[in-house]
Amino acid sequence: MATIPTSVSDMLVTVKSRELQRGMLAEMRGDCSAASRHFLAAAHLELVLAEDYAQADQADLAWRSQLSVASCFWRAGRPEQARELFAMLLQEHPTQAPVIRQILAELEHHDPGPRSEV
Amino acid sequence: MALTTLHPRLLWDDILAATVAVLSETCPQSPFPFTLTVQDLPGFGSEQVRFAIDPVGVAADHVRRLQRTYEASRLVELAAIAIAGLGLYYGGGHEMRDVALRGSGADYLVDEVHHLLEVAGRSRRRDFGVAWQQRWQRLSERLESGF
Repeated sequence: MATIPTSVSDMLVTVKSRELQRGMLAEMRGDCSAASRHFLAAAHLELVLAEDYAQADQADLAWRSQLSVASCFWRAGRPEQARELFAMLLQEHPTQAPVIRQILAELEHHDPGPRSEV
Repeated sequence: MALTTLHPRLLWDDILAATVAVLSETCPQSPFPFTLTVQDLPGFGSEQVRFAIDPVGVAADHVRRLQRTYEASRLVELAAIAIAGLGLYYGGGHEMRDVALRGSGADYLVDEVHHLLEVAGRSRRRDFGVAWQQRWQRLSERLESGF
């Protein structure tokens, strides 16, 4: 069977970045419902990107996307789901514990409260 | 040139309208002149850069809507992103490519190597020195390369 070269869609990265920006803008104007919607979209796009980067042997970017998935779920108002993902990542990458702790600390500082889901 | 062309991966509509809202407060006529002091920017160095920011293509309705929607301090933060985008492009041809991860201490990622970019907008000049020191320290504590 022939090996198909794997690439990561530039379009997918762009759409994900813009969904993150939309989420951040919604946060800034206090529109929780819109923020949740856009961060959830970004989380799901990051899920796809994490796998695509891994397939393309871009481990650093895959790791970044995995962290971003959890971060986006948190900012979408789903902190419990985010904590489960962070715990899973910590189990898989114990040497990255300081990085995960840093992200969690910042999320707890900036986005402490649970919000209603879409 | 338009920010949408210089940094095409990002969304600029609201950021541009916020920039027009902020600059039109201090300058009655467009294009709005802006002088940026650049320090140690890779590929550029240290120099003053002068822009003329033309609000062409930004609808007055959009600007008024943003003025009603966001607090003044938020508008300044958004305008700072646009100024950073212009400065990075005209000072070294850098491209803002993505949003930084929460916890990285930065706001955006620049160029293919993903330099960290921290953006801070302050509406009062006297707050600037302290804000600069805080942000610079936070960024330098985290990771190895950044703007």
